[in-house]
Amino acid sequence: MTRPVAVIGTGQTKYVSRRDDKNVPEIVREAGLRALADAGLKPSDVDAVVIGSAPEIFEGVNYPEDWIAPALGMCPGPVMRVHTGGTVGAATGIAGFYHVASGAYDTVLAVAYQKLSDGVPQYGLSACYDPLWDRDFACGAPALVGLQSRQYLDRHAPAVTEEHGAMVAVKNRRNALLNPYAQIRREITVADVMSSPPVAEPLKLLDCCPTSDGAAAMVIASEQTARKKCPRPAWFSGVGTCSESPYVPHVDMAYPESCVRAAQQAYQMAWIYEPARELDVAEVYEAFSFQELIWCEALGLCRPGEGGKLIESGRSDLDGALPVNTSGGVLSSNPIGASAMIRQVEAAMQVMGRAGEHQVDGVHRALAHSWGGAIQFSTVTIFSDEI
Amino acid sequence: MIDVGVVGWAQTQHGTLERETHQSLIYRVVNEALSSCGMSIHDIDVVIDAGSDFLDGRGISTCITVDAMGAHFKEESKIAGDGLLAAIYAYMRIASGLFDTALVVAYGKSSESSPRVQSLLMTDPFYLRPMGLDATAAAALQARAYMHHYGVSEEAPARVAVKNRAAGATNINAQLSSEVTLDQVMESRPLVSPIRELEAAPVTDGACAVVMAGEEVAKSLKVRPAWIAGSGHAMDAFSPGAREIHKLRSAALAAAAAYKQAGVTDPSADLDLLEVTESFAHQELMLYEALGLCEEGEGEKLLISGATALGGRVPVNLSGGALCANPVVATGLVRLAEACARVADRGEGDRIDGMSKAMAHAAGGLAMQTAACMIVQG
Repeated sequence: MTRPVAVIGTGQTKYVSRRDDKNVPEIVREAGLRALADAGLKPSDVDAVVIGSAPEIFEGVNYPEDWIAPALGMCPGPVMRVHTGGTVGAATGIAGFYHVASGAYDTVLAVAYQKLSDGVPQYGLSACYDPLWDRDFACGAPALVGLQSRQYLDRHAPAVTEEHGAMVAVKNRRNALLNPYAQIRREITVADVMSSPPVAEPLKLLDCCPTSDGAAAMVIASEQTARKKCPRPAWFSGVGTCSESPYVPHVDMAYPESCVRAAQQAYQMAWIYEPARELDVAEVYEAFSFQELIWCEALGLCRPGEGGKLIESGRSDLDGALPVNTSGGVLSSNPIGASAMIRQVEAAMQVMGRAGEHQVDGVHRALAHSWGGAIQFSTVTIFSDEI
Repeated sequence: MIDVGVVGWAQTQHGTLERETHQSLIYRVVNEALSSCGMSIHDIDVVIDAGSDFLDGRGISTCITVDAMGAHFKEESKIAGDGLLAAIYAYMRIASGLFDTALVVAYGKSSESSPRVQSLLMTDPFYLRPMGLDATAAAALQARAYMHHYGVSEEAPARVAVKNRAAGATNINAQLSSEVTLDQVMESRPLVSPIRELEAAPVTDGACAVVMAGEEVAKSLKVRPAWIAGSGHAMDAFSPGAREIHKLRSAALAAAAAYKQAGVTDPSADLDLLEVTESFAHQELMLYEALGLCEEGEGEKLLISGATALGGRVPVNLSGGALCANPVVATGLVRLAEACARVADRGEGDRIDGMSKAMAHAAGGLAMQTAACMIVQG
């Protein structure tokens, strides 16, 4: 077993479609200093920085950490950038966990960011495809997830319908009304979603996430510091990541094995046997509405094919038995490189009892999930109120 | 931290590898590193890799290198910057007690791109980029400041090139494997004054892989590991103008952390060998000082004394260093592989008798803004 590690402070910027008042280092600094303030620490209390962002082509700066990290006020000092695509925010938090779990550092600041308004996001995402084999077909994220959503719908029809995706969008936009940091804060109906313009069949505009500018940060500390600084730390109790080749013919996008395996690993570490019963809240990376149902199934929060029933039952609502995406999810804010850390931040805040208006009562265990690449990278992090 | 050993390593032949893909380079070094320690990919718990999106001309290049790395259905994470940073992260993973083994992979094919464009894009879009400051220009400003501040002669960096090219002539993986004379270096084409062509690292394609294991697994293998004694990394301010550019503060801090962990109090006495990333010849002199091999400003004197050459008190870059092969992203991890080969007692030709402790160094950023160090012992 490894030594206990906890999140003792979190910080976020208000997510917006375009930040004109600040550049990337300034946005990162804003989130980082808020996390330190939340933890009651000064920059000089931090032993190391871990920073994360998705493809640097988004902002057009090579080795962006060299430019951005010093703005946190901790240089000269140890800085490492994680770079794993969509999962990067969570992979950054997980790297922070290992910085402390290894005994190498006591207090680490993990920050993830993206300023998508500095570039053209779908162009950047299309650059992920192999230049020789795939790029002629590359068409950003919506087309890929459109295929995933169609595979999922076709497999489970008629138990899952397009309306079920719309219900996810309605629920998460409703949750976002309670989250002051969310970008899209507008009540919508299932009819609004169903009648919104098609993007990539079966995805319609309101099934899709926005593009955002913003950053999220977490202070990650050893047991000694956590006990001293935080009345109710969010302990890392389970961590799992899994990568999958994109070139395996039988890739199952409707039940991604990388997600199943990452979850198994995290549950095993956290001693969780019945996730649907033992978890109190879950934040999953639903960049597109149907993905919430797909991830809930792969994470074992409901049985395969029962995603439609889950959203219909109200069980995943804010006042349900297992609220999902209490923050409003990626559907309400999506600064890509930060999105996976926002899931960890929300899960940690729920355990710490600091989620404000979207706080769920009596949270002991919270799950944060993310996906990335060509639906090939998965991370699962579980926070707990006890070691 | 628990004991972790570097148990296997491999690097490609470096050069302009037109007939190789990123995947073919990765696949080869992964297989060779695993077979060098009698392990299979199934024995690996976690893969940590380093690559550069801009260099590869892709977004999230791991999307299409997962297969070649053997990371399919494994724990995997990617670090930006030099592979030595990935090695430090892999070390943390094993030290956490949650993993027994790790594979570290780093690769780069600089020949597919323009190094100048790559480094221009490292500048921020507002202040430095409009000035056109690239890696060579930044290093030249650094060289001039260093030489001016300490009264270092223009021949001093040239002598570093002569020393390292002589060492590289015996390295079968080196890209540049011919010796050069002081006159040849001094008469080589000026790039950006005071840096001459033979004082700058070549444009190189290559890859490197390293296998690490916790104490129990490492001791169960048939081959002797190089044990990790310490590591550290550091980043300095971004703008070269905001740093004391005649010094390498990040390298000094990274080394100080590694020395502290390894119990090194007098580096020039306690270390038997260093492998450093001198992308430009003058940087090796600056590193002598930052890494504590000599006093500030005494780098030239140390070089001329012969202490850092083969047979000297504390040899630096017996592989020939980055001046003989610079596969960007993998350069620092190659330094680790070279250091391990010299100190691990494996009955191979690379080991040098009496050498037991070595340090590998990696650098990144304009004018060496960042540094990473790892100390290994046989």
